[in-house]
Amino acid sequence: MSLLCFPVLAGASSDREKARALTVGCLGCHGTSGEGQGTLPPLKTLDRETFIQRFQAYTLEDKTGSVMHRIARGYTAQEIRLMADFLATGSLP
Amino acid sequence: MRVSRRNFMKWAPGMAAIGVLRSGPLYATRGIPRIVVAGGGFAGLNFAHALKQLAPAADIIVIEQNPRYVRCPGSNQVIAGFKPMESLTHQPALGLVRQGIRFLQGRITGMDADQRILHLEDGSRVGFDRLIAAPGIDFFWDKIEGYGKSQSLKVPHAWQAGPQTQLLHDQLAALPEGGLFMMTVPANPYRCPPGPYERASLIAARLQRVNPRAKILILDAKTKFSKEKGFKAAWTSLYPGMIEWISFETEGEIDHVDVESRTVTTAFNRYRADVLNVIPPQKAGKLAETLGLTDETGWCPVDPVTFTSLKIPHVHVIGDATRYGAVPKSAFAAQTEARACALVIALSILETPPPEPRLINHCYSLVSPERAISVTGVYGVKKGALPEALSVMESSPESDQHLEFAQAMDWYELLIRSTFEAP
Repeated sequence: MSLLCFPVLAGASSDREKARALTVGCLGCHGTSGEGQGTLPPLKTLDRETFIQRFQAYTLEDKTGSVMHRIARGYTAQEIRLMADFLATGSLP
Repeated sequence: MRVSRRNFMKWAPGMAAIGVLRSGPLYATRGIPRIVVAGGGFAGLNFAHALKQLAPAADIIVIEQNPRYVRCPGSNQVIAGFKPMESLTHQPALGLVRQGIRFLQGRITGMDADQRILHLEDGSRVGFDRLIAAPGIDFFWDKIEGYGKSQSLKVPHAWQAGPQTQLLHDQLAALPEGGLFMMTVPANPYRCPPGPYERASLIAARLQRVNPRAKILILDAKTKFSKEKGFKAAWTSLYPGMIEWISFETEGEIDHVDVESRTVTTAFNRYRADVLNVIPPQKAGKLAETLGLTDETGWCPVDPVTFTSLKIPHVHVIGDATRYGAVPKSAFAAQTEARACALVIALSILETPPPEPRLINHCYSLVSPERAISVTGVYGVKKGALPEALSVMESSPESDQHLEFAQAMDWYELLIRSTFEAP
């Protein structure tokens, strides 16, 4: 069977699939293609630097006002970078 | 790259303990194994759509006995009369077929695990290389004296949406002036931990408009509950004096229920309601028992990384039916599990070992028809242990409940879209 059957997973590498597994949880609120919905912003159009900057700010800020303030605490700095790299490649379907 | 028949199942954890019965695909088309999904709810449907998204060539069949799915999320709004019943009803086949996923309406009555064949009630058989079971929940009908399945036709549980939702709605609409609505809530684990308190909140919002002297009493088997601070603050400010919550810690457990007089007798007291809602203790859906996937708890034990059943090889279990560590039983968690499991299956076809899943449960509860609060949990799997909470937090008291309501409506929209319409 050719990888053509699995275009999304073409070039699967352990880092990439690890990152994909990390972003699985994001899709419930940001859409299965990262497209967003109304008050829930898209992930697709976030560039790598902005993603890292915002995500890390959420972990550092001493408040829990937004949903992302709570979510960010479940990821390490390394995991945040992995996700940013992954999203920057446009790998969400 | 080719999928070797010999290697296809090799990595699957749990197999070592059980012993590999047959290693290669038995029902492959052009080398692509057949994936069968048993159960067309939030877990099963999101799995099918997510796998199709990752692996468009995958051969996927969803088997579900009901052509129409009536969803639980949103059903408290219907019970309280803020939304019509039709708003909960979906036809999963439409979205599936549009994506090239086969939908088979039928009831599964048994399985030949060795040959990987499901037996359906109409006598037909469906072979699978991997089975994804998403059986949802069922009730223990023998744990509350006086409250069995037939009694639920008089005193509804309304914890599976459908006729039960309508029944409770109709009974509440006929609540006598100044009457008492009473709800009993089971111990953990059960489907949708904050659900009972959202139900009480929305019913209070309705009664405040049409029957302001009415009262709500919650008899709870727990000593604390999900989003407790947020709910209690909302009850005090929005519905002062209307909702009373009593824990069994002070009240003693339910001794028995009499549905004719709508009376609940606890160890220390007796309460008579005008409308009674008994939410019984729960276990995995009947299909899980039929397939032999449950353990002594009534739920399905699974491998933390691959969702592989620890009972039956070549079967994965997702959604409310699983015994899955700290992850709560919610539609949102189910769709995250479904997507994580779809990645596992897609990678297994490519013989790539699956990464450890990271799951999110993000769950809104309406405290009124215009306000919401939420709980957010991130769950991780480490060193092969069941998922642990890495971060679980609820809305802070100063959070904007109107904004959270707007987010909740968008969140519903996405959940419905990914489940019933397509990616």
